[in-house]
Amino acid sequence: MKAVLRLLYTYFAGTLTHRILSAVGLMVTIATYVLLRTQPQSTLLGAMAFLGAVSFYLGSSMMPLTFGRMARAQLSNLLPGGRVKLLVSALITVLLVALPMPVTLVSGLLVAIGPYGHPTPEQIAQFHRAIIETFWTTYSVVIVFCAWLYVALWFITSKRNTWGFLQGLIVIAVVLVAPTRNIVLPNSLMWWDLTQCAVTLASFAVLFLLWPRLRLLGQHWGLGTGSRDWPGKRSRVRGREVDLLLGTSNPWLLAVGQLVPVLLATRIGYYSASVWLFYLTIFSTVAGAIAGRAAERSRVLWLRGEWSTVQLFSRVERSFWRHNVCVLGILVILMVVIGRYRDLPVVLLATGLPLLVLGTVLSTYLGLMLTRGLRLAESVLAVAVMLALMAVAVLAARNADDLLTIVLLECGLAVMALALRYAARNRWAHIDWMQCRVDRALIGRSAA
Amino acid sequence: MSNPTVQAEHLSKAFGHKQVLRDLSFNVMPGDVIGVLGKNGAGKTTLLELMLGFTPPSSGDIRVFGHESRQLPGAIKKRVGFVPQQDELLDSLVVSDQLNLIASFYPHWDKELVDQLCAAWDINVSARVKTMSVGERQKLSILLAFGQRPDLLVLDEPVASLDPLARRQFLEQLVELSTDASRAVVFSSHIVSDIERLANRIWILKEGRLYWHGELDALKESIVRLHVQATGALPERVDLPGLLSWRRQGSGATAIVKDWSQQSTQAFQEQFKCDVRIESLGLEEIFLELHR
Repeated sequence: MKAVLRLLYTYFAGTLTHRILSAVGLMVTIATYVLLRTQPQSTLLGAMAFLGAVSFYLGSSMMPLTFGRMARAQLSNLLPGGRVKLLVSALITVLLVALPMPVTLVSGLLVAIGPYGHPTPEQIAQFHRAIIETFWTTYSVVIVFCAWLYVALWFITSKRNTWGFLQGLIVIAVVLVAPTRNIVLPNSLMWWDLTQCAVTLASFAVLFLLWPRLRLLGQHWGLGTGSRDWPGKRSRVRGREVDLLLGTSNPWLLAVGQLVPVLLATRIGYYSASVWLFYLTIFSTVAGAIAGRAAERSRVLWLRGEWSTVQLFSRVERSFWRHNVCVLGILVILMVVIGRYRDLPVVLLATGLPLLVLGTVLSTYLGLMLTRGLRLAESVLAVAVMLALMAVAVLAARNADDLLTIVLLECGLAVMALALRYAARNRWAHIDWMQCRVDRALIGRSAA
Repeated sequence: MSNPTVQAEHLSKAFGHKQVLRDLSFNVMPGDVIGVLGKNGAGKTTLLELMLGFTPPSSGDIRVFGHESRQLPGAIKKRVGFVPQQDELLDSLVVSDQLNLIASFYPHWDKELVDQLCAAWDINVSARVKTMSVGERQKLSILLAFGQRPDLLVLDEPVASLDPLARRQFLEQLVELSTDASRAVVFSSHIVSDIERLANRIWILKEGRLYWHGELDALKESIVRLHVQATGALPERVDLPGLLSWRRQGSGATAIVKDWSQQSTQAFQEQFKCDVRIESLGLEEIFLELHR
């Protein structure tokens, strides 16, 4: 029990950033709960509930990486009850993180649609049953949603390469599609949702506990002895030295890889233009996200080339744009095709396309700014940029007629992109490679 | 007679077609401090990992405290400490949180010892693990293994990244830990002088086999260098039992022999009409001669 509690403390309060995010998330959720009981529902309260849940989730974002690192560590096989305690801590985290959303929802419902007038005992009982059902349905859906998001986060943060991003994207696509469908078409049964949730968690638990044996079986059958990065990796690669060293030599993996989740979403079906634009805007930031490792990878380039740090930045920047143009190009084509297929308004396409470009530009320069690792300031900036992009995407979809406002907001984002580029260039001019050393965990894994 | 801490019988391990360990049988007894020596790729890490149940043997059997190493129950795991070659620390935590996290898994964590060692080894408990040097991380890994006061401590090249001072401090601590006759320590290292100083038993791995396992003194008595000085010419090659190497220089020669005895000296002197001086070798020289 002590170990499980300590693991939970590590996930939610392992660093100052996580402590702040968890505390803010918890406080905002409690405040929202109290306000929902006393105040009429409003957009502000809805935003507070969302903010509290997101902040609490982000507060626990150390869980996938810590969990993954400990689960893979040899030491975890020697810690008494190591794997079981790790699993229990992860499951408790998911259950805790999923709680704010259904609690605030039910709290709001109790006040908003409570049994008015003089209800009969049957009506009261029926109302309570409906509330309980809503709670468990929402809770189970959010649990599954959070669990899969952790998996996506683990793929992205543990690998930090194109293949990792792709795996994360596929998981994100699945979790965005499945619960969105559930929310849009709330016709599911409570028991079905609970069963779905229980099966997901139980499957994960069984897989996790049996993983050491499964891995051995895999080794016995000769699986998993080759490259750990992605299947079909060639022994010879072509491209510019700069691109190869920065990991931007093959943009087509990500460019084509985007097709999978997008086509999956198209097949299952999205129902609103705002969801589509929101979804594609998030995708547009992925191409730039791999720039986050540029600084640590550029040390070899610096030793090989005869460039100043500013010239080095220009080379790195060009390399990323050669990569990102292909990925972005495919995304833009997808957006136009989806626009035609889904009959999205032309105005939406006109405002959405610059938004995709801005998403890639902003994320690329945010990534290039990481010359000293991901610290509190960079984390806050990244969250702010993502929120700004999402907000403009939603606004552009909902108020497509208010073209001027949207154009002005996009201009604001463009100015932000210029500012980020300036900051990134400035940081590279004074780059200190001691502060952006390659993560030892990643070295260990590649050595293994 | 106490029960062996680790007991292996006909232990073999292969990765695909590559046979890493072949038919090893040994016991680790309480009070043993065993230094494992071998060239790179000799199978030292594989042997230690088999001992801890990280990987199953291809054939044979290995038991820790009487339990099959692959099926160690929690109560036995509490008695085993391990320092891996590559540290497994969590970069984002501060040292005190890392210590508390591992401590929470052990009911009998020796906090006093850990605090004392943190102070003695200059480990800043408020530093973030990510900012520590390789040597500092190694010290922290060792500390994590010491904290539980294990009955079996397994260390895979623990001093590779330590500076001479830290190495000395670590060895002193290991000596202190190993004075307890109920504990056993098994450690691999390329620093032969450390093994010579600390270990009371030596395992030398060569080509997947346990070429030697026994007490250090017995090893030193067993493998010696002969300085041969003859009046006439010595042959290019000689056929001696246990001969490891023979180097002729004019009427003199040096030979490295195994399992040499007084009777062997007399027989040799009579056969070649020569004087023979026997020289004891240090562990490093023995190791080098064995791998020449």
